[in-house]
Amino acid sequence: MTEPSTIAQIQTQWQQSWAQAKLVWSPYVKLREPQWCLSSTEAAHEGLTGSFAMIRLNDHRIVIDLEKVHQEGVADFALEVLAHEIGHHIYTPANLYDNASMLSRIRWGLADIENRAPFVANIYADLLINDTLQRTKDLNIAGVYQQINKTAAFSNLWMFYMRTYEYLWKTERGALASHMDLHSPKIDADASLAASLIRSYSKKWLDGAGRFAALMYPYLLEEEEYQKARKSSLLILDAETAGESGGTISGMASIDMEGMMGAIDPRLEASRLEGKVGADTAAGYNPQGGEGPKQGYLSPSKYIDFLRQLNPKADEQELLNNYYKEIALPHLIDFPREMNAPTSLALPEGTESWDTSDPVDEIDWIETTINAPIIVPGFNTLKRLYGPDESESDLKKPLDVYLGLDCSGSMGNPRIRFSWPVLAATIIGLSALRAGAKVMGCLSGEPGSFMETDGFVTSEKDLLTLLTSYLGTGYAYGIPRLEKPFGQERRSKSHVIIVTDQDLFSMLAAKKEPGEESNWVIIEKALKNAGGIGTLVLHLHPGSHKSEIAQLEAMGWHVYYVTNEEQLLKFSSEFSKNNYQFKTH
Amino acid sequence: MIELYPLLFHLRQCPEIFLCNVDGEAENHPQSYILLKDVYRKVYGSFNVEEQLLPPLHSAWRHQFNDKQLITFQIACWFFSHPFFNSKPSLLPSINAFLFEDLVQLSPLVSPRAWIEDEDRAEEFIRLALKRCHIPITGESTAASADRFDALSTTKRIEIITDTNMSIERIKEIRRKMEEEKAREAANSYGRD
Repeated sequence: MTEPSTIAQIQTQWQQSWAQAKLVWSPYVKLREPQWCLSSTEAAHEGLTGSFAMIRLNDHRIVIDLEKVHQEGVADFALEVLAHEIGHHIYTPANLYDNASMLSRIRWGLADIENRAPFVANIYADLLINDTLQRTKDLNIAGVYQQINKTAAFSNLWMFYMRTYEYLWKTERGALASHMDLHSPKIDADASLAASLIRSYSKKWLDGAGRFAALMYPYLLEEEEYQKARKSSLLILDAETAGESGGTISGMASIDMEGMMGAIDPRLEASRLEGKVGADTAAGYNPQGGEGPKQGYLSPSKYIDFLRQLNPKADEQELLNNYYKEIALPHLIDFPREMNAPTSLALPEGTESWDTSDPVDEIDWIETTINAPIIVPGFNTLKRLYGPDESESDLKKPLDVYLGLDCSGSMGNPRIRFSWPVLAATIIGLSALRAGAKVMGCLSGEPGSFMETDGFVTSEKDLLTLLTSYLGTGYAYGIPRLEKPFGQERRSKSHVIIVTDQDLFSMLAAKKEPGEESNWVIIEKALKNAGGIGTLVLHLHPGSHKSEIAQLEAMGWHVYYVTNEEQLLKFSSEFSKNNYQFKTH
Repeated sequence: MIELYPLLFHLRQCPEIFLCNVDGEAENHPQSYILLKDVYRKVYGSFNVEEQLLPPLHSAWRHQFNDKQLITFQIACWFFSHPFFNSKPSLLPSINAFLFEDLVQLSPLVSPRAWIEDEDRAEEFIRLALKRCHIPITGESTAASADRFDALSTTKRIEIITDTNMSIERIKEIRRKMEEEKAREAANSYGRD
């Protein structure tokens, strides 16, 4: 085949190969034709730089830079390149969720260098796809690499990568790893393990991702070596940003135990004698290092880092909201179900024409006679309509809820470390919203500053954005904040929950300017005007501040003691169930 | 000279019975012993051959080897039952060395089933056997064969990997100490603030 001399000719040739490339995988593959970029500038606008092809999972597209294709001399490999890109869409990573799962597993194998996970994921996926195409689909993928190698800057990692293909495809030494001076027994041993791994995990490729990362770990550990590896691999990085603009992937806040335990270094496995059990994770990760309930979750900062690696365009605040929402989800009340109490159609609601196809006993003779003294069935006969006999007294409206959180200097930043008070507030807030109530949130670290929602809101986003914010000022929740929602009696009743610690008593006793109401008066009035249950969740040992507690209880406040923050979870789950759960009798 | 793939195919067809029973029915002669004698006779080219013409297997033979090793011998018996090895008595000393030196040395490192189920181990098994018997592989130069065998060799790989693991551990240790130092400095500066 002679090489087409112009970009337009290449485009025609590649367009003609598209249908055949889809057939390589299956006659049922349905993908839109790639976006053909006639110049590298045009390709850069689409986000394609470095390589001559790339995929996007969010819109299931393939982008081809035809100018680069021409420059790199791969124009004759249209079928191979296109089939490879299709492989990313239908084999690995295939979709945004699997892409996220693969990246999550790879991160466990790359302790301290997690930022290199997308690079490793791309190389792993390429090995899986290329091995399938070369060995089972009879495509000349080796030819593509021989062409790329003419200009590639060889690094240790590139050698490892090429040697892996040599082992997979049983070619002569040097057929792909052509720089003989870089050959070494160490690279050979690693490549041989990688080849076995690619073959063993070709079907359950997610399970092999952590092991592959561990195998690549030494090649990426040092910055200089990593940069060399990147430089040599730049031309093949076609799926590194595949998850961009893919929104927020659910289910990523919890620690993937299977993935973590799968990040075993194959070198350790291979050097372990037969029969000796025990897995060493490559990353040396401590399984006790999780945060949140049962230590089963990533820290918020790691979660955000991970999700932004998947989708650099993701909004950080949205990710943080999603993090606490995901952890809160198992503790939320069920969505209220519609009450289907058996009701009878007993209330007369006017008449309509009776048709000859209707039952005869439905005719309302009185109305028919009043309407027309001469009765012509089907023409002027009438039937009565009945409406449901419902009692509105059965429909209970859930009370709104006010959530006041102490956000003073003693509280941790929920963006950096997992925060139990924020989780508790999220559970109560979202449960209330589910039940149809409105929620007002207030973060207060006073004296100093406070933040609150714009009154009682129904927006989940507004509420979560408020709850996951951080002040770190003052020493306690500011009681005067209750003035705004409960200065006057509310038309809709509301529960009031304040989460704080013993500094509340200093706040209550704070001196006011002459003429101002004392905080004791404000807190009493607030509960009265709210009309619901008032709960003070205090990080305090029962028995302390007895007289003040007695005074608060006399006002009607319930005091819930927590001695460790995990008890907040229990409180919030119980509160949500007691006040917002639909009860079946 | 022989092609590799027919042998690979033959080895991977090893019947399950060869993998699960070492003692068999006979009281004094375990299954492995009987199979070995049979395969020696087959390679010799006659079942009426006198005992002394075959490699010796003395009476305490059973107690020298564990079950895993005996199963590995049985897999080898299956392998050498391939028609290519029939009536080649000159191979008997090499086969004997392969069984009682090479396979015994590898038995702590490779499970018997891996010789059949793992593609690389199966190829290593065959290349090692052919190397012992000085039989070249069709279509491969001596250098290419040696290179391919080196790539598959379990013992060689374990030597390299052990070195690599030690060097990775060293790098990890350095990084860990650097991290600790950084954390200590951060804690000191926090304390001063």
